[in-house]
Amino acid sequence: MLNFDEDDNISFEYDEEEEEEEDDEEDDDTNIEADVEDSDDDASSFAFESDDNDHAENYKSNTTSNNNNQLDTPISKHLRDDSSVVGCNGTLYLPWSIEQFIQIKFLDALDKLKTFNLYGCSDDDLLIMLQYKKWQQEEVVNEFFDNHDKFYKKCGLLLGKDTNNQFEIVKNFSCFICCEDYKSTEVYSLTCNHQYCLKCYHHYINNEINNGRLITCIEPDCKFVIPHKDISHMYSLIESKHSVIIVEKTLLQNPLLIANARELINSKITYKWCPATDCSSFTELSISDVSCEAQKQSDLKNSNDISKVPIVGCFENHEFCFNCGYENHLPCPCWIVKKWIKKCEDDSETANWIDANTHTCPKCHTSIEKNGGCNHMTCRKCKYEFCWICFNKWSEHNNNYSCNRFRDDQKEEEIRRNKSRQTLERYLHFYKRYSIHETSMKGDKKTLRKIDEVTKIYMEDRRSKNEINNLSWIDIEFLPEAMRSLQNGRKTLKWTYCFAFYLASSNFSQIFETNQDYLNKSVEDLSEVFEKIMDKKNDDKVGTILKNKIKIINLSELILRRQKTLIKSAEENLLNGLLKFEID
Amino acid sequence: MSRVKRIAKELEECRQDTQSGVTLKLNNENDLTHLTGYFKGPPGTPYENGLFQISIDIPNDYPFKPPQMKFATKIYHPNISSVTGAICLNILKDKWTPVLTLKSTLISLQLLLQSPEPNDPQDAEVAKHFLSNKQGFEETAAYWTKIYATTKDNESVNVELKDSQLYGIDDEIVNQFENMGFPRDKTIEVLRRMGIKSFKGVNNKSDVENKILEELLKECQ
Ligand SMILES: [Zn+2]
Ligand SMILES: [Zn+2]
Ligand SMILES: [Zn+2]
Ligand SMILES: [Zn+2]
Ligand SMILES: [Zn+2]
Ligand SMILES: [Zn+2]
Repeated sequence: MLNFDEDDNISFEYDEEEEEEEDDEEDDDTNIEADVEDSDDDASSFAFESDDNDHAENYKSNTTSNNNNQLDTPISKHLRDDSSVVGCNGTLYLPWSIEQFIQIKFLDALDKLKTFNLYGCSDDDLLIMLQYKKWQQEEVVNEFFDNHDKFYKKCGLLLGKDTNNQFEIVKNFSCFICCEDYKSTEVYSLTCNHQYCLKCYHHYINNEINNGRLITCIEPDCKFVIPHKDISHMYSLIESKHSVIIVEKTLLQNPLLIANARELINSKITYKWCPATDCSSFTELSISDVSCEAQKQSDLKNSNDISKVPIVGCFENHEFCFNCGYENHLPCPCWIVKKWIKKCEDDSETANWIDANTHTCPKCHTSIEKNGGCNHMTCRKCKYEFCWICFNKWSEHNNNYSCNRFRDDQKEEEIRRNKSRQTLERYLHFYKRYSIHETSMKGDKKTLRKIDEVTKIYMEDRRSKNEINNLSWIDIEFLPEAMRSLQNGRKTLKWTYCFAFYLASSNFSQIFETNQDYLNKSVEDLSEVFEKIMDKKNDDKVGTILKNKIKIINLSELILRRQKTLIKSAEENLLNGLLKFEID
Repeated sequence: MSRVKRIAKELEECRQDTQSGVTLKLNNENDLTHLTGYFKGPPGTPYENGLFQISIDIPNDYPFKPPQMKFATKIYHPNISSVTGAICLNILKDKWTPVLTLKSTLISLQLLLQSPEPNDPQDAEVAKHFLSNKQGFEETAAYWTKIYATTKDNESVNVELKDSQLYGIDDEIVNQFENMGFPRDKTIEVLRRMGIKSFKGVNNKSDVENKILEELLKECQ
């Protein structure tokens, strides 16, 4: 990529080959699965027979063969046996990754366009033309043959061979934008030869790129368009600053294509982004019966029928609600979620008070930092074991786990004195539990990620030493499933506090609370097992995992069952009116 | 930091340039992010002989993000808010590029005074005035220039501030309703809201008068 010629000018050029190589992606933050290999390293695995316009269908059939685990969304696995409950007949929710979107909507269009042999057009030109025509390759072909000079101009291109876009190092350069006088610096220019230093060009592009539109030369009236490849090359150069090796991005990682894809996805209501942090995948609603879908949407607005809540899976297997865009909030119906989120925002100041008051040991008042997700706390100073949620002694409520319930009878006369204080305390009671589980989810995630790392390292190590009696992936196959079960269980648990806050008390609300207690218990138990495995003092972490295998499997199945039971019973009792929400 | 170098250079260049008629000054010697720009109203326009002050804030990401500019001098122009001085100009928004400078932007503002774009208005009331009665608009704009944009020492004019004239409203209408006992400010407010500047060319004068009366009665309840 680096060419030194006599004039001491260094120019950067691409190599067609580089398109093919894909650098190993960093392990996604959110991907807690112990995926052994990436089956879709090769971009062509997305390809499908041309002439067929139904991309979604094709994509589906393809991913089924390539990423079995990914299309099998957890919701159909765990919570709903019949996934058609979610939508009307013919309604499909398809998980997408941005890369797939780019491949199918953009690059496949490019491949088709290439078959037309548009005279004098490089791939760079074709990409610009396609993006200009919103990826409708037929329109590109039509306009090209209609009047190609005019079309070229409109796209900000110069006919074929005359283009002269350059990255070069020049001496004694004064950049008009940053006003630096460089002894020697890298500059970029298009055919128009409007040269600016690379830093300024990159900064400019970085600002413009968020629109997702084609980017022209910096000069205000200059219409030349910067090719996609130059943009990604510029990013690569800036990112690999001071290093000799420049890692080129593939078209799938092209910053402008990604930005353009984001723009297109944002602009259509049939696409919804996964709300999970660090997740850039999204889900598409493909409807065949529009009127049914519209009816469903309006039904959802105030419905207590939680079997209709469209919980969908994203490409990374995160569950979320397609209706309101939040994470899987079952057993809460969407309208309750909306109310709750609003309330939490309005009351965020009171909630801060909780933070300030919950960070000390109830016995010796030493401040305590919580690391993992488990709520069984042991004070480092006085060794007092207590529950992070209710602050009671841990041993006391281990068998009869009931720290979830808000008791009106505590210090009765005092509370009665002040009705509004009671309301606040009631809210704080539920909010605290809701937010603790939210924090614990992050803690769990950290622990799980570490476990994932440890097992991977262990496996690598064994493999390199060629040990015969080594642990195989089959032996720890149960781990990803258990990890997901813990995460999803805790998520459901978190939302039960929102549910319970609005729940009118009755005999059936007590059943709900009992289910909640059970789920709470098994979630905390599994969380604790994982946390113990990752304890700093434990130096045989993998051994501990294997020793606890049965326990982990049992607990994770228990969580699934209890989660399912809780949601199912909430669903039924809401429908037959035995559970009611009380809204003031 | 490139922003500092760049602004310093722009200031220096502006100082040396005597041709463009555009001046740039720092509000405070130690702060490069708050400036004031000055230019004269273009001859042959209602802004002639006026000196206009532009307040300029430089964002952190300058020159990659446009400077924030607004008229500190009150001005009557369809693309500039007659209340806040906010400017509707594409290069101050999405058409900005880092090659543009404070000077070139001020020159563009000067050009904007020469050729208003009433179809892309910032101030709807002014734009309506411009489109419906160009001459009335120009008189009002010139009046504003006189009142607000003329410095006391370079002009001997000592005009009396007339509220009706400020909005280009025929003083006779205001007097008419004032004589009926309505407060002057309320009358002007109602006339502005209804977009009535004069009775010239109005056929159904008595209908319009009745409507104004109705509004005034509501207003003064
Ligand atoms: Zn520069
Ligand atoms: Zn150019
Ligand atoms: Zn996701
Ligand atoms: Zn929802
Ligand atoms: Zn303690
Ligand atoms: Zn407890």
